[in-house]
Amino acid sequence: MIQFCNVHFDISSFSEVDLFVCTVSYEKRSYFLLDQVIPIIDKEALLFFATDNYAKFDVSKEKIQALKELGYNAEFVDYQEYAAVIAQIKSAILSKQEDKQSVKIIVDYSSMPRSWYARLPNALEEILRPDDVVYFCYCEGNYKTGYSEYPTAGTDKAFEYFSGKASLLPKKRTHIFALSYDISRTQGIIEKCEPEYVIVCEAHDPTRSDIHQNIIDANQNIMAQAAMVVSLDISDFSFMVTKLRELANELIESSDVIFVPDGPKPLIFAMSQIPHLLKQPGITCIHAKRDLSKFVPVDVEASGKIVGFSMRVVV
Amino acid sequence: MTRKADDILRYDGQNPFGDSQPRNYADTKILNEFYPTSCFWSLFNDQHEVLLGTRGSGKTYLLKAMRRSMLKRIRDPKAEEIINNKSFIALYVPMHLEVISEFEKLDLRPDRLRSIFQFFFNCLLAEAIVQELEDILDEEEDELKAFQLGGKLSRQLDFVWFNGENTYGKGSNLKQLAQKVRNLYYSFDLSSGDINQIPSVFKRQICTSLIVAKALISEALDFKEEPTWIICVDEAEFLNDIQQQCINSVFRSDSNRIALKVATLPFYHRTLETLIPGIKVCAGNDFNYRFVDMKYDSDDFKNLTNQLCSHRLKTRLTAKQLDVESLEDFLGKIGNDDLIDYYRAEVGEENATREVIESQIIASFSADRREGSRNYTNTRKTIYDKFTTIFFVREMYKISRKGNSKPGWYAGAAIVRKVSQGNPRLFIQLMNALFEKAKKSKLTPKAQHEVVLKFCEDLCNATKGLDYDAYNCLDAISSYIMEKVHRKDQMVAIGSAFSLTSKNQAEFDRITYWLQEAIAHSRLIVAEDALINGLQNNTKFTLSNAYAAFYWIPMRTDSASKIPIKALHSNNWVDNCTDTQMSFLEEVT
Repeated sequence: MIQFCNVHFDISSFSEVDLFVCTVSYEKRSYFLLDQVIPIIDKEALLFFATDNYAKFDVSKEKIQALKELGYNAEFVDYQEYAAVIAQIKSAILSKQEDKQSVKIIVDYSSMPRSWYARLPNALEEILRPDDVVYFCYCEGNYKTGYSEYPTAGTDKAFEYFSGKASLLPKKRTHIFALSYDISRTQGIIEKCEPEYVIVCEAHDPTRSDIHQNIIDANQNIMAQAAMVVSLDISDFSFMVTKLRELANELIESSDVIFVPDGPKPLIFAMSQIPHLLKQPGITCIHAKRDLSKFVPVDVEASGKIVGFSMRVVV
Repeated sequence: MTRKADDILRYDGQNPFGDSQPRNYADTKILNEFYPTSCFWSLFNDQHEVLLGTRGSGKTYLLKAMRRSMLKRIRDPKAEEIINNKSFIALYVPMHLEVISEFEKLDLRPDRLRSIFQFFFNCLLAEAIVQELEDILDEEEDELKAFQLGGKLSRQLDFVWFNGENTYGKGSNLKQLAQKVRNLYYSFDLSSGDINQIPSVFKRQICTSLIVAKALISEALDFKEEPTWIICVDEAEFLNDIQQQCINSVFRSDSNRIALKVATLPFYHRTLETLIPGIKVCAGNDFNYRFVDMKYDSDDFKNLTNQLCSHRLKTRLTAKQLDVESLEDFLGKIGNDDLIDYYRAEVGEENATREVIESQIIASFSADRREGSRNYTNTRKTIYDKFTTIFFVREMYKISRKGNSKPGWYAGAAIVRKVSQGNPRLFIQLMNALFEKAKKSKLTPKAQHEVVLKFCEDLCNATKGLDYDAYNCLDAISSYIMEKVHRKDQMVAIGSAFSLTSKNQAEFDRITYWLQEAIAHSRLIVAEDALINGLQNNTKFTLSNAYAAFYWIPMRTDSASKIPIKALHSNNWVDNCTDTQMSFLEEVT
């Protein structure tokens, strides 16, 4: 069984780590932690990825080159090849476990594709020992408060099944969507999904009430049509999981529950775990793919705030 | 003008139009809001049919209401006839996204994918059969008889489905039998499970679980004649080609008193192939296409909207005791709810006479046309009837641009139905917005106009999330037509219809995808034959009335504009992203 606990991160958290995993991408915040960690950990404790198309983006191209000159080499993978990424991470952890009774792993998922990070808990559960601990950390981005002119990520024509098992013939279905600034995408997801009973949730930083209010204002139409709006604290992963589990447990009495995660990564992460945690027919999670043909990468710098949680396997 | 919406002012209760998805609807709600459209009763036949309808057009509503368990509660002579004659029994079998997408994720070989789909379909159908049988037995007044019949049916079905084996549980009664079917399905590993271990009925061609059961059901329930079993396959747009071939194979085979009604989006019935290579199904022969979308000015849609409006307001606002029988009662009506009535209300009686309007229309012509109009005979037809729609839109647009002016133009029941485009879901969503407004202020024509225009704007913007090419191209097309509509001193005969001209078929084929998406989501309208035969170079398209309203384009379909495809330039959205836009990341990865 997996146990999640909130964790407070500062740079001292990253010393004595056996493995640090991250992804360097077109966002400067993707290597915010990496830059701080490199001076204090061994080279062998570092595993960082970059997608095959990294050279298309100046930010990642320059960073990968700079790291290479320092003797740090990225693992290059196709964006879609989550199985290969997970296999590499597992292999690296197993290797560390050979020499130690307990290992400390940190995964910075700030710029990882969701198909990579959301699968990690389930994948790592198989190999973690009771004294091992994996930390998942996320660097919050420095966002402007306005939202109306930002490019949308759109939606691909397909949705991707992520986890869980749907009922054969449910009497009722409840969809739980996540809100974000990308209202067009959210509306597109809802329209394509043709959801039944709608619950929406949003996760925000309580210290940024301006952003929170913007999300509320931007999504008013959607919220007005939802049966329930659930507001969550982006820095409290443990509560997010608990709350979503509780919601699913209440709803499953009378309805199938379908999670459609979106919005900030910690919320996507939390929503994606619920079917696996509850292991009950009728609870599923599907991911709405982006329209990659229209995707415009947007650089974001780290705000300096790191939120995260730990994962342990308890017997 | 009386307007019942004014009685909502300061109401702080829940919005009765807050949900619009029939799949969630408890059966009671479906029945209470049920309006038997002309399409509904004609679905009770023994033909295989593919029901084409845009999102929100009412496909699910129709299919759910066909079940015997629903029909018996509909107070209509036709429903009674079907129930009493026991001539049809319908089963609802949805192809939910979260189920079908799991099969896709497994990345199976085609033959295994087919087997898994057949297994899933037969299990789902079996559970639907049991559910319907439970409901039929609920009708039996003699509880002992119902209990005995239920036991007999369970044992018999258990035998034909599971050979009486208890691997997946017992089947002593219908509830246990349904659970046994579920246990079978949930316990099977879709990616690596041994198909040979599945009871044979469930791994054969789809519908086998019904084929082996229907005779014994007829006998047990003492049907004088075997009924036609209607299998209502909903959400078939999520099926891939192999899965659609499974359904097409049933179309092609001996019907066996089984009729499939397969609901899907336009253009999503993608293949006519069957599971036998080289053998295809033929529309008109093996199956028929049926169009579910209603026209906004049809009696069906008018009656449906009246019923929805009346029922929801009466049953959910009981304290208010609103006497609303129609949409017109709620929104109020100016005159006959015609365009001229709303125009007259804006500009005054003396400016709305036919003579004044005609002279203003002529004054808006180009110099040449103005000159030529002197020779027009029958100006009622050649000027008034032909141009007033355009004239009104031009004038109202001018008013809307003046400072804080807001005309009460997009208002009234006729406009609400037009903008809803005959789509029940869009209607409910628009009513949701109007109701919210009515809670805060009087729902005057100006207030209604504001709400309707905002609704249209949001719908147009939401296209971005569906398909960015569709969004950009529809914006380009609408802007192009809008510019032509509102040219100063040059009124032309133009409306919301257009065709796309291309150098060759290949150029046209490259844009087919977004056109189809726009049609499936009611952004564009085409004639029914285009939905079957596909989109061609010469297909006439019409912008949805929501687009027409937002871009101030007359809602008329003659005089189609010819727009070259190359002018659409769908990739300019990247160029339009400013540095400001580029500095913000939307958290969608």
